[in-house]
Amino acid sequence: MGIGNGFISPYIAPNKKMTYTCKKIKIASNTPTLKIQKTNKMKKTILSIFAAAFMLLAFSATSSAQKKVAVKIQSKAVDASRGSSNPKIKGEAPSTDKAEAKPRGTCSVYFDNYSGLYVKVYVDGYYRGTLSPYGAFTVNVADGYTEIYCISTGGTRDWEASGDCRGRYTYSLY
Amino acid sequence: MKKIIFSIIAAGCMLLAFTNSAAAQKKITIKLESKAVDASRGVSNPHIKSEVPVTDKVEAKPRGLCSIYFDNYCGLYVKVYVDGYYRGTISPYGAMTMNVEGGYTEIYIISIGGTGDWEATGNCRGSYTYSLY
Repeated sequence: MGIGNGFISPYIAPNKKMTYTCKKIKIASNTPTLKIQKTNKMKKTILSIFAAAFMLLAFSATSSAQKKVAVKIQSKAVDASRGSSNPKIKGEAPSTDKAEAKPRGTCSVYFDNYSGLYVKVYVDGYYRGTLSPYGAFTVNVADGYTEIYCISTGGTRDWEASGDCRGRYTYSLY
Repeated sequence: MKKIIFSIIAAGCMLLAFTNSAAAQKKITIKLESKAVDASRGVSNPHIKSEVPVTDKVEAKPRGLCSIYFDNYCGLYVKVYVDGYYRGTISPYGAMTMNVEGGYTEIYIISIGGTGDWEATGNCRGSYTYSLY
């Protein structure tokens, strides 16, 4: 029971019965039991604080890890013989102002441009903006998407990838 | 033991307090309302010095840069110019971060159709976020 030669092991979790025994021993042998009880309580408190902190960290890390998807895309040289038509592009940048309604149930797609070029971004073939060199931007997509296509404004390099709204995608363009 | 717990809590509080104050010093948010562009102005725009590049010229990675943030809360595509130079196009309700080397003083934004524009001033002393309405 952790009692031997008037010594009480500090590793035994104290309960009501133990406390009673300790008090008894204290009277008999002058052992500083109250101090031992206090030490055990402190240890419990510290351990519970640390456990709570670790659980908090672990759960927050897991939830964000599930969502984030980072995709690195290397550019390819665009075939010069292809001509001006591009099968990847269905809609170009608008030339007139037509206010779009705020999309509901959107998902966000993130782009990081690590190339030194201006890059035009197309989501499912439709123009969604132009990125500056070493810049970043976020595009909101209402009804999901499957394909990402980026091309430099000069048309010499392009990037392709697939994605969807199940993950929080970040496309890094190199 | 008590001392240890108190010192851990105190250290945590100090860390939080200093982090918050450091971030609060830098962030500056500016809300911009669009103005209607005068239709009689013609094609030339004194705020624009360069347009979207049509040839690919690789820019060197800027050193000692500062970042500028844009949040587009309007339903239009907008073209962004920093000190008159084209820096990108933002989609409706999208956001953009751009890196500027050597500072800047003026922000000019115009809708892609040219009917509305936004103007502001800024600099690299703060971390500016421009919200476009």
